[in-house]
Amino acid sequence: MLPLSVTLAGLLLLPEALWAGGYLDSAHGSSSAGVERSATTSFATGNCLHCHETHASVAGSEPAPTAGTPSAYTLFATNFNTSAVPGSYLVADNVCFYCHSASATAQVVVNGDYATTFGGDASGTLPQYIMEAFNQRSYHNLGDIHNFVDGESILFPWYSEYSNPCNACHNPHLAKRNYQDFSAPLSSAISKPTDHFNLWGQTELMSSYSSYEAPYANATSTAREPDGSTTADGSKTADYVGFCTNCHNTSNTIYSTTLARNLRSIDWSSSGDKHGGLVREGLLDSLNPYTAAAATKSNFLLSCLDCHEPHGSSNIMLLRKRVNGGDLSATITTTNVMGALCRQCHKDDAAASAGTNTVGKWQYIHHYSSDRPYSPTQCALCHGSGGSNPPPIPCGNCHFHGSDDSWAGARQTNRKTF
Amino acid sequence: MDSKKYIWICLAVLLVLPWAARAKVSGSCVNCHTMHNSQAGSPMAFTMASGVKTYTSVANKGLLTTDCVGCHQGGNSSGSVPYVFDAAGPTYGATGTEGNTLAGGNFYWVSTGNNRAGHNVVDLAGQDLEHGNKPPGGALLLSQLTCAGTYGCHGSQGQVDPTLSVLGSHHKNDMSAWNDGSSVAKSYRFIEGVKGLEDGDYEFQPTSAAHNKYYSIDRTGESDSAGTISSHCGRCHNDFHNGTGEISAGIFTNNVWIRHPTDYDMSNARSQGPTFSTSEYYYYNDYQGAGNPYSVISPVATADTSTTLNSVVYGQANDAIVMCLSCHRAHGSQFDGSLRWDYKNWPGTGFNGCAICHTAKD
Repeated sequence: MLPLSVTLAGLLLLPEALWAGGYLDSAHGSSSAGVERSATTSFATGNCLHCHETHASVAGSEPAPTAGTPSAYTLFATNFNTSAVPGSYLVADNVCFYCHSASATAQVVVNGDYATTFGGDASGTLPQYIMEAFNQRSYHNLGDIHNFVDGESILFPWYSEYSNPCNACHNPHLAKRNYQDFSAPLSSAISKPTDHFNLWGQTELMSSYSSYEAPYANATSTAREPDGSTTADGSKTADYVGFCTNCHNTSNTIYSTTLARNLRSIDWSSSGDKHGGLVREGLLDSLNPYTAAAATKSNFLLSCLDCHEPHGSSNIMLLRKRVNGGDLSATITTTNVMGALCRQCHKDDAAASAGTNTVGKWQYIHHYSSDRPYSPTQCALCHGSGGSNPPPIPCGNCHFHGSDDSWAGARQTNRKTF
Repeated sequence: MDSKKYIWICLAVLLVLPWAARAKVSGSCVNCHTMHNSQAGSPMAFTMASGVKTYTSVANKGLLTTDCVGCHQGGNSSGSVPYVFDAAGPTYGATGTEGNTLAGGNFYWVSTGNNRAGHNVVDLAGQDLEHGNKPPGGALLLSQLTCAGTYGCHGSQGQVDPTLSVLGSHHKNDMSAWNDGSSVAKSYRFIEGVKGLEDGDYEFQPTSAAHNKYYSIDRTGESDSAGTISSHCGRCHNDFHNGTGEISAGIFTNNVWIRHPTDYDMSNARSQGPTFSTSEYYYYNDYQGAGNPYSVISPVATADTSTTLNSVVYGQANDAIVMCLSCHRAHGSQFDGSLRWDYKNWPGTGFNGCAICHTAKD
C-alpha cells in the first residue's frame, strides 16, 4: 500500500497533471515538424501564428494566403466553405487544405490514405494528400458532416456554424503524427466527436474486442495492419468501431446529400451485423487470416477501417482500394458488383475451386458450400431467366449494413446478410 | 472675509494639500522647473539623448527644465521614478517581470531601429519605416507618435502639445486612490479617461500582490468600452478592439472570434465544453485547485473599481478580462509586436506566455 503522504501528494498534483496541454506533442505543435506556413517562416515551427492571426494580420499586413477579411477563430483563411462542391474541393474551401493538399500554398503535407499508411500499400499508388483523397468517387461529405454536427448541439456543444468539419474527427491541437509512428497506439490523430478535447485510440483499442483479428497488411507474409508487425489482436489499432459509431449508430439520423437519403444506421452490437458483434452462423468460407483464426475465435468483429477509408476512395461507399493485404481486382462503382471487395476475405468461386471456378463469381458460397443458404434449384425465382447460366444478382440487393435476405422473397432464410 | 484670514486659509490649504493628495512628484521645485532658464548665466533647460544631457537656451513650457524624455530616461533600480527609456539597455528577462523594466516595458529596443519592438515615439525612435504614421488596425495619423497629447497616449487628447496636455497633472496624482478617469490627473497613468489603480513602483519586478490594477468591462458586443485601457489602445488600433464585424464572427457572446477579443471576461469562455469549468481558461495561471493567482506575466483586467488589489483571478465577477496589455507592453519590449514574451520563437527557444490563459496549448 502506498504511504499516505505519497497518496496526498498525488492528489495535490492531480489537477495540473490532468490539464497538461497536448499541443507540443501534437503534429501541428511539434517544434521540429509542426506547422510552418511559407509566408510566416520567421516564426518558430509549430507556432500558433502559422494558423492563427491574432489581429487578422501580422505586423500590420496580411501574410499569404490573403483572404481579405478576418476569418473565424482568427484563422488565416476561411475555416470551411459551406458552399463547397463535395468531391471537387478546392484549397480555398477548407483551411486545412492549405497544407493538406498537393496544391497546398501554405505548407505541403503528405498524408497517405488508410490503405497506404496502415494497409501495406506501396506509397504513391493512392492519394497522398487529404484533399485529393476527398476528391474521389466517394468521400466523407464535409458539408454533410458540418450540417449534422452543427445541428446536434447537445452532442457536440463545442462545434459552431463557423467550425470546420474536419474537426469533427480531429482536434488540430492534439492530433499526432500517427503515420510516422503507427506502431505506437499512443500516436493518435483522432478525437471522438463527443469527446473533442481528448485523443481517441491511444488506450481505446480494437483489442478490447476479443473477436477482432487484424487483417493482413501484406497477404504474402504474416504482416498485419496497421504496422506490418505480427500483432494480430488489434492492440495497435485504434477502436474505430467505438469512434465511428459515435455518429454512425442506431440513434442518429444522418442525411447524405450525395446519396439523397439518410445513411443506413450501423448496429455493430451482438444483435446487429455479422461483420460486427453478431455471432456468425455455421462455417465461414473465409480467407486467412480469418480461416486460421477461426479455430480460436467464434466470431469476427471488424474495424470500420478494415473496409472503409475515412476521407474518400475511388470506390463507392469509401471502400478501400486495398483490403486484407491485397489490392482490389477492380474498382467498385456500383453496389450491384462488389465482389472485388468481398473476395479479399471471402472465398469466391475461384478461391473455392468450385462453382463457376471464376474470379468474382459467387455460386459456390451461395449454393454449394456446406453452409449454403440457398439450394441451386428454381434459379429463376431469384435470378430471373437465364437457363443454366443465370445472371448474377446485384450484391446490393442483400448485402449492406443492417441487411437480411428479405429481398429473396419466398426463398429468404431470414439470415442477416451483412 | 478679511485679507488676513484669507491668507491663513490659503496657507493652510497649501500645507495640507500635498499630504491629502499624496502628490507623486515631490522634492524641490528646481528638480523639474527653472524660472528663467538661467543659473549664473548658464541655461538650465536640457534635452536628453542616449543618456547624455545637452543644455539649451530654448526654454520649455511649464517652466520645465526638460521634456518627457528628459525626465523619464534612465535605468530603473527601484521604480521610484518611472524610467521608460534606458539608453544603456535595460534588463528585460523572459517576461519583463524579472529585470529592471516597468509595466510599460522600455523604449530601448524600438530606439535601436527594431520598429516592431515598441511604439515609435518622437525623440525616442525614428518614424516606423514600414507603417509610417499608420498604426496597424487604424487610420493614418497626422503625426508621428508623441508621448502625450493628441498624438500620444498620455495627457489630454485635445491638446496637441505633449507638455501642455499633462500640465499640472504630476502635482495632482494620487497613486493610492482609484483613478476614475475624470481628469488627466485622475486617469490611470495620465491616460485621459482610462481608469485603474497604479502600482506604487510602476511594476518594478511585480508580483501577484504588487501590480497595477487595470480596469475593464466585460463586453457583450463589439462596441467601444469607455474607460478601459484596451479602448484607449483602440484610439489608434481601432479594428483590433471594436467595430461592427471586426472582432467576432456572428454573435459576440458565441465566442467565435475573428480577432483576439479584449474587454471580454474569460469566465464567459466555453472553448472546451458546455461549462466554464471545462474550459482551458478555468485553469488560468497554472491553477492547481487553490485559486488562480493573478499573473504578472499575462495580466488581466477587472471591472472592480475599489482600491483592493486583485491578487486572485476568478475571485469575483468580471475580474478575468482580457486586455491588450495581457500580451503587449505599451512602450516596448525586446520582442516583435512589443509582446511581453518571446512568442515568435515558441515553441523552441521562445516563451509561451499565451499558455497563462490558453492552458491547453502547451
